[in-house]
Amino acid sequence: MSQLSRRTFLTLTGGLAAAWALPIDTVARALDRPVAPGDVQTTLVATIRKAGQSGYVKLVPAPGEPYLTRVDLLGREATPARAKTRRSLVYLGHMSDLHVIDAQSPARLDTMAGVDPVLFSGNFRPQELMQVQILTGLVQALNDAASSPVTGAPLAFVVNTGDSADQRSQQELRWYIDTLDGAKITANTGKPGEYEGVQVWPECDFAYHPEDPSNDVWGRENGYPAIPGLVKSAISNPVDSPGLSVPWYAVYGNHDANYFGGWPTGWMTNELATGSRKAALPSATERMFGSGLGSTSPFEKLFIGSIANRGFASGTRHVTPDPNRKIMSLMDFISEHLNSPPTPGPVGHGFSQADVDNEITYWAKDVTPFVTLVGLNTCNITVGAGGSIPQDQFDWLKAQLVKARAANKLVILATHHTSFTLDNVAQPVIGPQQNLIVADEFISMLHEFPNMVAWMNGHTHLNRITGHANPNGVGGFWEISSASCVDFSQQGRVTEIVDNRDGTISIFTTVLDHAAPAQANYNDLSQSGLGSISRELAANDVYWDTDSLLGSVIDRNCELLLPAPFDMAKISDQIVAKSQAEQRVRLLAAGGATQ
Amino acid sequence: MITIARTLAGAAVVVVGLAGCAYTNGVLPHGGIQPDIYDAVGDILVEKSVPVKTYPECTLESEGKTQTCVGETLTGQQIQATGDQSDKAMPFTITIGGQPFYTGSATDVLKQNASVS
Repeated sequence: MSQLSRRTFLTLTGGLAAAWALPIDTVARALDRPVAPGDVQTTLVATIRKAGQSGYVKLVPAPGEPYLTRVDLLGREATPARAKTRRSLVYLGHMSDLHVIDAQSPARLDTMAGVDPVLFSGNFRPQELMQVQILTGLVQALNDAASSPVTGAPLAFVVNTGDSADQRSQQELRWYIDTLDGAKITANTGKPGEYEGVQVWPECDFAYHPEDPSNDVWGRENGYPAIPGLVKSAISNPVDSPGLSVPWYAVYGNHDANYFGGWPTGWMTNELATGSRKAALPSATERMFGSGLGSTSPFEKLFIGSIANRGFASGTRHVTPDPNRKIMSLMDFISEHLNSPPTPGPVGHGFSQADVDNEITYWAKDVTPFVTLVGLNTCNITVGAGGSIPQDQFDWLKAQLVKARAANKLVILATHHTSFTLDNVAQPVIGPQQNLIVADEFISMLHEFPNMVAWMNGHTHLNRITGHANPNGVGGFWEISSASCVDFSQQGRVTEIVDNRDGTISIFTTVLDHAAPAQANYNDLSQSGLGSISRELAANDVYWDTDSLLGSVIDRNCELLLPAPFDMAKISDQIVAKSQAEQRVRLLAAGGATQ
Repeated sequence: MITIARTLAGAAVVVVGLAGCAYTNGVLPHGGIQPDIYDAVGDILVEKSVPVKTYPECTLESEGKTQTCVGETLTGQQIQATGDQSDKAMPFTITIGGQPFYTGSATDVLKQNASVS
């Protein structure tokens, strides 16, 4: 805390100790300790790779990947001296596409994998029972990375860029929020202690049956192993999530806003989701939709549904109904985020009660005195998986950027969709319409604001980094897309913005594996053991191009340079030190790293 | 009416499933670009320690078949890569300053880099 005067240091220490109910000498010692790069378990230290190149392969630890310096937006080599002069401005975590799945829900379209496993590769996944375990592992990894591997700066917050629930289920949403907040979760619905679904029903040969996969496509054709006890352990054993040690923020993904990521909920009513018939065969899924259960029309439901209920039950199975499986509304998504404790906070995770009242689905927060985080809702609820930005939200964003620029604040943008997938201009047939902004116009507007330096997103399940150069070729902003939590490589990121004090800033982005060990042991069905098994099953999913999901080395651990967007001296050392002292004490109170 | 409703609904099931998949609707429609060639080009440039000013970005040509990726070295030479994404092996070539630099299979490069050697 050399940037603070002794008097300021003492005042700050006393204030923070009182605010967090910590002994003043503990706080003083923590803040007085020299800041150094954290000893953090990231992919800088070790990566996870396949043990072979063909057939079903195990995963093994592999060497770490150092930072690659990228100067695409600087237009020249970076100065070597910057490593000695830089100071941290903000250090954050990023997770995306969590896809928490209630695999037993009758609303799930898992049977469609039996029609075409490539086309419907997202409808059934062999690892889909273990999403709460995976997410808990990522929470642990982010907590372990509480001190930056570059400067030692404290983790300030985590942003989640959407697709938190897989099929717009309220139960899936609740599990994800509880996991990030910290809780013990038994990831089961329906009958307590019993799994009722496609992974134990023998007629579902499109699904992986861990007890005995010899008769399904996964075991028979792709060498998936028998793992007795996996299903029971996944749904019966409580998952103990420590919760994130820092505040976290969330935005909508298309799976949170649209049914199965692409359709309005009218196509799937709560009657099916909370009912007692689940399709086991593709033909049954088609019949259930055809019977009117997937219709919004009361007439069709009454007339067609009544016929169907008497004669179209073949190919379905009885499951224990569960009202918690209800399909959430757009505002339920915000309300559930408001149903959250003050720590790690903030309550609402970006959203507020006023947003529910006014049906506003985007937000802006000053996460430090010199950084504004903006969360947009890029989902098109009319139809489709792709995104766009409605005119009113676009105008609001522009106003936020103007405000931040005038106050010399850096802006970090969080959305679900990437620049490659902001392409959905579908308009409702009935009801109000407004102009929808797609990628080119959106990027062009962002270029007006040099203080808009980083755009975090997901959606594609790929690690990807894209430099968006200003029209003159120099400057612009970096788009950083994170892999998913469900498909291989099940990773997140930590990202730090530093001022190099040479007229440039750097964005260090570092990929994180979730905390479960690289090598799976089929006899270890603990929370962590299931995490390792899940990653291995995902890595072998032949219906996904798993090798490309890692991204290129130019998309993973990188130092991304930019010309400084304004005179960075306008952000004083003192205000940075004070902000980071607050973050360090918050971590101390949460039991996290404090250096 | 029932037949029509069921036919439409059955078709909807198919489309719903497709639309819900982030991979098929998210990754592939990067202008129809498969990520593999972009990934492999980036990996090779780093592996061969090419001093890069701008890493190549790729576009799709030839009716969704050929990818062309263009970047620049720190010395101002153009990096150009072309690859055939319709071929399972995804063969690609990289030239730097117009000179041949690398020829190989994107699938093989990615397979190699996703595994321990």
